[in-house]
Amino acid sequence: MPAMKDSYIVKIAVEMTDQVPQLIEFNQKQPLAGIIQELCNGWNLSDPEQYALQFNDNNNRNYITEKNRNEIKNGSVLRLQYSPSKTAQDILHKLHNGNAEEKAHAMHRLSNLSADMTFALDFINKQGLTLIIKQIETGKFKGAVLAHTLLSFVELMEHGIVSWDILNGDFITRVASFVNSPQEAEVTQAALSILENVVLNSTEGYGQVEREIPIGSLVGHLQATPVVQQNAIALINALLLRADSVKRRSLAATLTTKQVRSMIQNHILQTGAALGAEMAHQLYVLQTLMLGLLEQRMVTKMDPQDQDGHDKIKELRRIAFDSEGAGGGRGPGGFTRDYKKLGFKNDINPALDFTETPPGLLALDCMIYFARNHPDSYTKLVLENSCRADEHECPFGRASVELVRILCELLKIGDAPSEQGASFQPLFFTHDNPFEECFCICIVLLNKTWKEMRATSEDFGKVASVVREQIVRALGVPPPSSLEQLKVKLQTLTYSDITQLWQLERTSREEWESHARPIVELREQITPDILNLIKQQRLAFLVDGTRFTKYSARGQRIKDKFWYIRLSPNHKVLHYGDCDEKSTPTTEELPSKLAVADIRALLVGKECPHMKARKASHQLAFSLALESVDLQSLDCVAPDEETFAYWTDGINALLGQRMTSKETDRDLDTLLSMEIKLRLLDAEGVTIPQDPPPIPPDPVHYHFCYDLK
Amino acid sequence: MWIPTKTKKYGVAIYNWKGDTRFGLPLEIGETVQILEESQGWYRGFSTKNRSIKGIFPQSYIHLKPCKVDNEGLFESVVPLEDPVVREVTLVLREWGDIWKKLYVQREHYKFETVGKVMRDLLEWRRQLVSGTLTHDQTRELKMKIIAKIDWGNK
Repeated sequence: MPAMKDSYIVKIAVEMTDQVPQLIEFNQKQPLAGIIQELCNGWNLSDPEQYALQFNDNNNRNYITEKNRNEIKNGSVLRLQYSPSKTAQDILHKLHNGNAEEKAHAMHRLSNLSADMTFALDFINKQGLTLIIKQIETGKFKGAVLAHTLLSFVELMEHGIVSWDILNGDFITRVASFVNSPQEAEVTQAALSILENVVLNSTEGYGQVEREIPIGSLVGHLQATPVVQQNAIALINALLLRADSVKRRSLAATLTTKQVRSMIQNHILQTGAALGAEMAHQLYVLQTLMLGLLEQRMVTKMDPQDQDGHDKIKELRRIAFDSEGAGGGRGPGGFTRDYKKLGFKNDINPALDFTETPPGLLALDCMIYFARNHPDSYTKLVLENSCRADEHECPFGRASVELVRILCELLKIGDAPSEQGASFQPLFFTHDNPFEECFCICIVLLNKTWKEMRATSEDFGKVASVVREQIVRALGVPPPSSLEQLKVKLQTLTYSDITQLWQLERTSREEWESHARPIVELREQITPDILNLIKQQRLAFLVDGTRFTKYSARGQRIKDKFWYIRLSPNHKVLHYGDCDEKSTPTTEELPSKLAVADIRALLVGKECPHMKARKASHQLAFSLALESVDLQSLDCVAPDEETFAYWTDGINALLGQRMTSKETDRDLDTLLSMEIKLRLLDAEGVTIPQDPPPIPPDPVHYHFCYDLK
Repeated sequence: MWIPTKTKKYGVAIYNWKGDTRFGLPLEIGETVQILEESQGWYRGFSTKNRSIKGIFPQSYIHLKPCKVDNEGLFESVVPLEDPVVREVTLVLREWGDIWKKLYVQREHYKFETVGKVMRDLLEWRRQLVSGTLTHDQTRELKMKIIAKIDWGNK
C-alpha cells in the first residue's frame, strides 16, 4: 500500500442537519470551495458559496479555512453549515428587523459564534460590531439578552481586530452602570471584563472608568460567584496598574482596610475559590502590585538632611533605652554608645546605615514599626544583645538592614507582575502591614538562629544565609495562611534542621556526581592502576605462602598432616613441601618445585580432581592443573575464604586472567572511591557539568607569548 | 592574539579532555592547572603535577580559583589563595593516600583500615570547611579537630 502517496487524503464524515451524513475522502490539495461544491451536489443543495465546513465540538466548532484545514485528521466528523458570511448576514438581519424573540435568539447565536475568528471578521466587516455597541449604549436589552450582547462584544474584541479606542464615553458609562447596579452574574462578569480591557487597552478610557467605578462597588462583587470575583479583582488590578503613585496609594489604602481584607479572606481564600489558576494569577498580581508600593522606600537612600529619618533613629534609641531611666543628658558620647548597642554599623552616624539600596529607607521603616508596635519584643531583643559581655551579640541594626534586603529579594519587590505568575502568599491578605509584620517575625527568628549558631560578627553572612533558607522554606508549599502560621513554621525550622537539609542535598548531589559522565570516565581510567595494586597485593600474599591441611586423593582430610606452598619472589616458581602444624618453611626448605609456566588452568570446587569422589564438594578447594606428565595437578583446600580468594586471585593473575573473587570487587571499590575523592579534592564545591563543555574553534595562530625553549 | 593573563592564573578542570588539538594539553577532571596566557576561548598553561609540559586547553573546561601572583612575568610564581588548613589537609590527604595504598599491598590490615577511616573523616571535615556554612566558632573547633587528627596520623 503506497501510504506516502495518499498521505494528503484523509477519510472523514460530514454531517448536516436533516441530511444523511456523507463519508468522503478529503483531499488536502483540493481547494475547500471545490470540496464544498461536491458535498452540496451530494445533498442537492444549490448556492454552494453560501456554505462552509465546521469542526465538531472537540474543536470549538470553528469554521474550517485554508489555514486550519491541516487540523483535519482521519476519522474527523465535520459539519456543513451556512458560511460565516451568510450567518453574519442572517444574524444582522434578525437584529435589525426581527421581533423581540427573534432578536434574543440571534444574540444568543452571536455569543456562541463570536469566538470564531473567521466569523468575527465577517461580522465586524458587515458593521455588526457597531450595531452591538449601539445596542449596549441605548440599553434596550435586559437580563439574558443583555448578557449575550456583552459577551458577544467581549468575544469580538478579543480577536484584536478593532482597537479599544473606538469606544466613546456613553458606552463606558453604560457598562459602568451595569457594574454599579445589581445585575445577573453573567452581565456583571462581562461588564467587569469589558472595563478591565478598557482600562488596560484604551488611551482615554482609564480616567473615565476610574471616575465612574467607586472602589466600593467592586469590593461588593468580591462575594459573588467565582468568575465575577475573579473579574472584579482583575479590574482592581488593572486600575492599580494604570494609577499614578498618589492614586495607587489611596486605592491601596482602601484595599488594605479590614473590611476588604475580610471580604477576600472569607469569600475567596477560605472558600477555595483561590485554587483556580486564573484566580491565583489575579491574586498574585494584586499581591505584587500592593507590595510594589514599598519599592519607592526600598530604592531611596537616606538623605543626611532627612529630619523624619533622624527622628526615627532617635526614637529607636529612646524606646530601647529610656525605660532604663538613664535617658537624656548623657551627651553625644552616650548616643554613640547607644547606637553601638543598637547594632548599627556606623554608630557615630547611623543614617549612613540606610544609604545602601535596596533596602534603603524601607529598613528604617520596618525597624521603627517593630519598635512602635512590638515594643516588648523590640526592647527584649536589643537589651539582651547589648548586655552580652562576649562577642556573641547579634547587631540589631545591621541584621535588620540585611533582613529587609533578603525579604525584598524573596518577595521580588519592585518587579512588575509576570504573565504566568500564580504563586501568592495568603498571609499578605491578612494584615494592614503584612510586610512589616513579616519583618517583625523574621527579626526575632534571626536573633534566635544567631544564638543557635553561637555566631559572632564575622559569621554575619552565614547567619543571613541560614535565615534566608528558613524563610524560603517557611513560605514554601503549602504557603502559611496567616502570620501566626508563618511564626509556627519558622519555629520548627531550627538551625540544625537547615544544616541537615543542606547535608542531605550535598549527599544527593554527590550521589548524582558519582554517576556523572566525567567521573565515570575517570573511574574507568584509574581502574587498571588499582587492579594492578590488587594484583601486587595478591602476589605478595602468595610469596609469603600458606600452610594447607593435607587431604587424601578421595577428598578426606588427613589429621595432623600439613604442607606449605609459596611463590618465589620472581613470581616464576611455586615451592612446596610437607611441614608441621607450626612451622613456616623458607623457599630453600621446601623440596618440591613447580614452574608457573607449567600451570595449565585453575580449577575450583567440584572441578578439582580431589573433590570428584566427594558427594558434597568443598567450597574452599582449588587445584592447579598442570602440563607435566609425572604430576597432573596440585590439589589444595584453603583454610578460610580469604585465603581461598587470595590464592585464586593470585593464580589467575599469574595466568594473566581476570581476578574474580568478591574480595577483589570490594577492594577495587574501596581503593577506587578513595582515589576518586583524592583526585577531586580541588574540585570540591565546583559544579560538574553532565555534558562536555563546548570546545571553541581552533586558535587562529600559535605564536605564544611565553615560549620557553 | 595570545595575551598573558593577569588574574586568571589558576584553576581546576571540571571535565576530562583528551587534548586532541594542536598543542593540546590533555586534562583529567579535578586536575589543577596554572595559566600563562589566553586567546579566544583558550588558555595555555600546564598541569601542576607536571610543570614542564605546556599546552592549550579550552577555557570552558576550567573553573578559575583565586590565587596570588608574585614576580609577574616569565618566572612568576602562583600560589592558590586557600584557607591554610584546607590546603594542609589536601596535601596531607594526598600524602597519606600513597602510604595507604602501600599499607594495602603490604597487607597491614589494621593500619589500612584505621588510616582509611581517618582519611574519610578528614575528607568530610574538609568538605564542611570548604562549604563555608560553618560559623567562626565551629570552623575553629573543626580546625582543631583536623590538626589533632593530622598529628595523630603523622606519628
